[in-house]
Amino acid sequence: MLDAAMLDAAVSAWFVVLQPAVFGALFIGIIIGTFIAIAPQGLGTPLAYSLLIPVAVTLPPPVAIALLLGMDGVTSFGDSFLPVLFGIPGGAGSQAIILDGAPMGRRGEARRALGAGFTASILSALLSVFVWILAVPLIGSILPLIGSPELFLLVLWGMSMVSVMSGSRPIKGLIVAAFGLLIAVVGMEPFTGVERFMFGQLYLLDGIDIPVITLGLFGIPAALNLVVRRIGKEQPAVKLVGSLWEGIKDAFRHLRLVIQSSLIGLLVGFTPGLGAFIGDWLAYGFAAQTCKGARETFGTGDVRGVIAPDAANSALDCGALIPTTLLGVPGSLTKAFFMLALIMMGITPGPDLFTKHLELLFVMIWVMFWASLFGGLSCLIFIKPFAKIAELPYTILTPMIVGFGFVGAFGTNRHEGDLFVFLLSGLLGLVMMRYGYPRAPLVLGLILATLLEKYLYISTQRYGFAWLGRPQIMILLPLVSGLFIYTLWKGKQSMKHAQEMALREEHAADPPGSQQGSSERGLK
Amino acid sequence: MKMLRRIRYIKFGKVFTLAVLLVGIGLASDLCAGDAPEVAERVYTAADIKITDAQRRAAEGFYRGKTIEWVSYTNPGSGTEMMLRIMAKYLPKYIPGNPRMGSVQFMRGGGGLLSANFLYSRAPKDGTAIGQISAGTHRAYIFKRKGVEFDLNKFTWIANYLPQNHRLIYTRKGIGVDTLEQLMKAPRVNMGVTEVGHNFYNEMRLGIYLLGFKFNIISGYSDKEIDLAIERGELDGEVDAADSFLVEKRHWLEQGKVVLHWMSEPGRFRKLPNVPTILELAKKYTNPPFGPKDLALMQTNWDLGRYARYLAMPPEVPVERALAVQEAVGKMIEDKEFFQEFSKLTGFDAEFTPGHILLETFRRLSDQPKENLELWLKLTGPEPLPKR
Repeated sequence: MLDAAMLDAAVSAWFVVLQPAVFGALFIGIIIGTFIAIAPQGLGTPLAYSLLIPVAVTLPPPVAIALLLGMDGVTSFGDSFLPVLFGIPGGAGSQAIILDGAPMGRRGEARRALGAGFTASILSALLSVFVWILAVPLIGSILPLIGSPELFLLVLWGMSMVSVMSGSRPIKGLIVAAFGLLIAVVGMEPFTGVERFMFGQLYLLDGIDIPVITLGLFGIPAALNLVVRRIGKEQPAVKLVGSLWEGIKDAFRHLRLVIQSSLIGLLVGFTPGLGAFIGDWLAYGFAAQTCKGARETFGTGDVRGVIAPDAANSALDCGALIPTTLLGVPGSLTKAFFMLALIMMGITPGPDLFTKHLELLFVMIWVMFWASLFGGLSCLIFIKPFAKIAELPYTILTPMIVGFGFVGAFGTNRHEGDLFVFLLSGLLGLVMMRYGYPRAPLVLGLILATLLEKYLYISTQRYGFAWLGRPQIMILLPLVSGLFIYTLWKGKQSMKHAQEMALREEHAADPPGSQQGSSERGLK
Repeated sequence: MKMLRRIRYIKFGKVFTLAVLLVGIGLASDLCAGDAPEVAERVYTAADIKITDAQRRAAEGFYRGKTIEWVSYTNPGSGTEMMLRIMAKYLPKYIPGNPRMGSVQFMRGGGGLLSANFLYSRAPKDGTAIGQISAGTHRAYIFKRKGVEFDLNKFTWIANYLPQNHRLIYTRKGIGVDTLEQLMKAPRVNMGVTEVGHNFYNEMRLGIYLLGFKFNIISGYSDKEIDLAIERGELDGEVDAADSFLVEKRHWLEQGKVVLHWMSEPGRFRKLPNVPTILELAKKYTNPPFGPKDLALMQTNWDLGRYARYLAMPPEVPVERALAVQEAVGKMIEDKEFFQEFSKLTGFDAEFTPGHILLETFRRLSDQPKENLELWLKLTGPEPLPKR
C-alpha cells in the first residue's frame, strides 16, 4: 500500500496538476495530441514529441509533463478516427480496429463505432491509471535490490523493442539500432572526458541533439509523404452518421470485454519490447475466441471488434508508462521519447524519479488521469469537428510540418549546425523509408545508448566482471534473454498474422510492422 | 641575594630564549610548508561595488524600457537553467530603470565555449546581454584549448553567484573507515562522481595524490544517483558541496549514517567547524612532508574550483551599466525572498562575489608556472597520478 510519504506526494501532486499553468498545458497537449492522431495519415506521436520536446524542456517540469503526457495520452483515443472513417490505420496500435471499424463506417454506423471505441478507451485508461498507482509501492519495495548492473540489464531489455519496431525486418532493425548507438557516442565521453568522432568540430563536443535528429528523421519524410499521397484531396471519408449514444451503451454492455482487453493491453504495455503493435491484435484475437458468436461476426462490423482493440490500445499506452517511469525502461517508442524529455529536464526515470521526484511521478499519474478523461470526453463531444481534421488537405499540413520542423531544430540551441543535422536526418529518413529500413530503432538506439553505456561502465568500474555473478543478474539475465528471443519470434509471427488479417480489408494494405505505419507507404 | 637574582635572570633569560626559539621553529616549519592562507572568509555585498549616484542615474536612463537578453551555456530544464530563471525574476527589480528580462538564448555545445564565444564577439556590447558562463570556460582559456575565441580578461565580469568553495568528503558508516587513519589504511573505497574533471573528482584525486587514499573513483552517476547508490551500498562515499549536503542530507548526519572526513578550503567551514581541512591533513600526514609545490597545486585547485557559476557581459560595456548590474546582482542575493526561493529550488545558498574578484583570480591562474598547471591537469584527468 501507499505509505505516508507516497500519500503526501500523491495529494500534493493532485493540487499541482490543478494549477492553472499545468492544467492549461494539459489542455494544449490534449489539443495537439488529438490533432496529431486524427490528422491525415496520423502524423505520429514521435513527430509530435520531436516538435514539443524543445519547447517543453524550457518549462517547469510539471507544466512540461502535462503538455507532453496530455498530448501522448490522448493519441490512443484519436487513433480510431482514421480506421473508421478512411479504413486506414491511425497510430501504431490502431491496426486491428480497421477490421470491424471500417465495415461499421461503411454501413452508416461510424458514430456508433467511434462512440463505443472512445468509451471503452476512457474506461480502460482510468483502470490503467489505477493499476499504475498500485504499481508504485509494489515496485518501490524491490528498488533497493536494483543496482547499476540490474539497471544495465533492464535498459538492455528495453532495446529488445527493436525487434518489434523492425517487424519482419529484424536484421535491418538491428543495423539501424546499432547506427543509432554509434551516433549517440559522438562527442565528449562523459566518464573520462575522451573525445569521440568529433573530427575537430567544436559543435560536436556535447554530442548531437536527439530532438533535432528525430525532427528531421520523422518530420521531413512525413511532410513529403503527404505531398506524394495527396491526402485530403483524393481519399474521401465515409459519412459520419449513426448513433453515438448507442456506441456508448455498447461499451457498458460489454464491460467485461473492456476489462479483459484492458488487462491484455496493460500486460503488453508493461512488458518492454512487446510494443503497441501486438496489444490490439492480442485483444482482438482473444475477443474473437471468447465472445459469443464472434467467429461469424468479427470482421464484418461487430462493435466488439472495435471495443476490444480500442480498450487494449488505451491501456497499453498507459501501461507502457509504468516501466518507463518506475524502472527507467521505455515501454514503447513514444515512451522512449517521454523518457528523453525527462532526462533533458534533469530527471532520470527509474529509481531516481521514484525516490527523489515522487511528487512528479504522481503528477504524471494525475495528468494521465485527466488526459484520459478529457481526451475521451472531448472526442465524444466534438466528434464532428474532430472528424473534419482528418480531411485536412496536405497543402495545409505539409508547410506546417516543415515550418515547425525548422523552427524546432534551430530553436533548440540556435546553432546553424542544428539546421544542417535536421536536413541531413531528413535525408537519411527518406533514404531509410525508400529502402525499407525502419526509423524507430534508430531513435531507440540514440536514446538508450547513453544509459546502456553508463550502467555498463559503472558496473564494470565498481564490480569488475563480478557483477555478472550477482544473484539478481543470475535471475534477470535468462529472463531478459528469453523475452528478447520471444519478442523477436513473436514479433515476426504477429506481423504475419496481422498481414493476413489486414488482407481481409481492402483498405488495410499497410504492413503493420513499421512504426511509421501507413505514413511510409507513399514513398515506397 | 645577588646570586639568587642572577640565577633568576639567567633562568628567565634561558626560558625566554627557549620560548623565542620554539616559536621561531614553529614559524619556520609553517613557512617551509608554504604560506597557507588560512584567512577568514571574505563575504562580499552590494556595498562593495563602488558606483556613484551619477553613474546610477546614467544607467537608469539607459535601461528604462530596455530588454535584457540572456545567453546561457546550459540546457533548458537543467538545474543551472532553474537558477537563471529565478535570477531573471528578481534581477530587474534591482537594476536602475527596471529593464525587462527577455528570452534566454540557450547555446549548448562545445562544453560552454560556443556560448562564451558568442557572448564575446556577437552579443550586443551596450549592456543588454548577460551571459551565464560555464565553469569550464576559464579552464579552457587558461589551458589554451581549441575553440577558445575570446580573451578572458576582456569580458565584463559581473559576478559569481554560487560558490562551491566548501566541498565535503564523506563516507557512509559501517564500512570500517570511521577515522581518517582507517580511511588511509582502507585498501579500496568506492567513491562516486558525475564526471572526470569535475571539482568533486579533483578533490578526491588531490586526496589520493597528497595523502595516498585508495579511492576507486567511479564516474558517470548523476548527483541524485550517487545518493541512491550510497544508500544501497553500491558506493562508499562522495564529495559534495557542503551547503547542499547540509540542506539535502542533514538527516544522514543526524542519524549517524555518515562520517565526515575533510573540507576542501584552507579555512574551516563555519557550519561544520569540527571537520578538518585538507590543508591541515596534508601538513600533518603527507610523506614526504608538505612543501611549496603542494601548496601551489592546492592554490590552483582552490582558484579553479572556488567559483562555479558566473555572470558576464561582452567586452567594452560602458562602466556605469556594468557597475549597475553588478550592484543589482549583489542586492538581489541580499534579498531574503530571492535567497529563500533560490535555496529551496536549487539546493544551494546563493553568494555574491563581484566581478573584479573573479578577474583577479583568473589573472592569478593565467600567471602561474607552466609545470604547476600541467600537474593540475594530470590531477584532473583520468590517467594514474604521478608520484609526489
